[in-house]
Amino acid sequence: MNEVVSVRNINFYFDKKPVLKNISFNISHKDCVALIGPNGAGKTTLIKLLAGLLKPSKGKIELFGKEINSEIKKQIGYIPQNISVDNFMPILVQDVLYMGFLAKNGMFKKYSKQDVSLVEEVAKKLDIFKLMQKPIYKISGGERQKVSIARVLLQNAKILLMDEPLANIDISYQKDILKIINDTHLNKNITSLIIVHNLHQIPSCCNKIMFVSEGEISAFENKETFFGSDKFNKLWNF
Amino acid sequence: MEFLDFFNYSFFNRALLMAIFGGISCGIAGVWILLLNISFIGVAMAHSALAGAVIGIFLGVNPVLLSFIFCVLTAVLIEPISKASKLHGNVSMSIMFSFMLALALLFAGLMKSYKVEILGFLWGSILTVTKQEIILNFIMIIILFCFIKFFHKALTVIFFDREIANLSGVPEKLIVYIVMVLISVTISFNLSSIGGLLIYSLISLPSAAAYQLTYKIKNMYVLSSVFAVTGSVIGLLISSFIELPVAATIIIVLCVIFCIATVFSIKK
Repeated sequence: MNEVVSVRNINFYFDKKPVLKNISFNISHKDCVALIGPNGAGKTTLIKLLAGLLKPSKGKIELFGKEINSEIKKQIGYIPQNISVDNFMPILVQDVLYMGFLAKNGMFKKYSKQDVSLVEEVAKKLDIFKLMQKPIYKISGGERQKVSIARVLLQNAKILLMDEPLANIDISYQKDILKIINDTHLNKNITSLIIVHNLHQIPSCCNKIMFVSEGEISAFENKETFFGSDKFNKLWNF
Repeated sequence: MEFLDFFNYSFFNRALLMAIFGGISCGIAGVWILLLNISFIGVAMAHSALAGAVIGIFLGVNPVLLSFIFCVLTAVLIEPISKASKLHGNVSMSIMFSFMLALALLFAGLMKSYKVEILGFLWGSILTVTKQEIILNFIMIIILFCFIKFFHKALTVIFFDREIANLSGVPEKLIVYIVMVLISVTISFNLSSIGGLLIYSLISLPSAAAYQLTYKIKNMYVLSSVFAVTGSVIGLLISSFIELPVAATIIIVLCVIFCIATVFSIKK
């Protein structure tokens, strides 16, 4: 099946106020969709609905042709905007990386030698190996995003959902993260959906743009045709 | 009386064992409360346990059992109260805390007899603990160790980010509820020895001190338990030797340990 994400007429209400209104779309295998739109448009709510962290008030969401359940969730690599760690949470970078195996191995299985070498390999690839023994709160925002991406790589996720992965990250680091996102999407044959705040933060691997405003999808088009179109100019200026 | 003479008395040795076992279980429970960021729930639960124990004595029901039930009820009710009243969780916790403390004092006031037993639950009476209480605490420690051994990975991801835990296939809500139940049992089992007014300090101070000195969760369990046991044993010895209230002395020793840990904190 080519459709990885299928959303049918979903509505989401928070405190009886509509956040998302009657949204429908499909995302195909290997698509990389950049989700853009003004603040408060409902982008984060939409990505959390796709991750199964929220339930739609109405409508239906299917991933890989099935309604979201605990097995489907294991195939979702979710990267929140900020790693929500307490200031001094006693968790090391390597602890976060090993969390990537939970979906595959479950809670009780011991890590194999293969798991350990895989963690080393991914950490070296993303240039975070030297940070392994550091507490997660002691590293920079950019390094934390790398750790999140490494965790998702170890999870072997089939769909990547990222909520503003470049938010609050130093510009010098943004290029680095964008390259990692590109490589991850292209080399792992996955489907990605990324919320971005600025157009220059859209990874080059993105082939589609979804514009969300006031809880509705105003546009969902190919990147090449959308940028430069009158529709884009009208929406973006707005 | 010479210092070593205390060890000739069986009641003192029982108290010592209780200080060790209770210290270990409270040290572990404290780590969970701190890392789940539910300190206010812990306070409300501790005072609910006190209310449960007092009402238990009033009704002639096992006070430890009723304190456990009240503890769990508080942990479960806080979220629905917040949702229904549209208030922040901390406000509903303070409402529960006030209500439970008022209940405890109300029923204590209604009773004409049993005052000594109630005072024991209020201020603690570690010198009167029974063999049965010590055995229960020992069993509790084994349960806590087993739980940590099997659920360490799940607990770590829950402490880190509950959304990621959920997406990793960890039944995070169920595990947090189990943790709440285990905290409730720990509070109930230690209520009579340390007292309802200070039990929360025995839970929170050792883990807060341990937090200062390590970056690893496993080390936190060990340090927190060691501090709780050290504080309890030293507090018991000091209070017995110079005739001070035991529970209060234990908590003051724990405060000193916390201050020392903060001075030597690696997180500055």
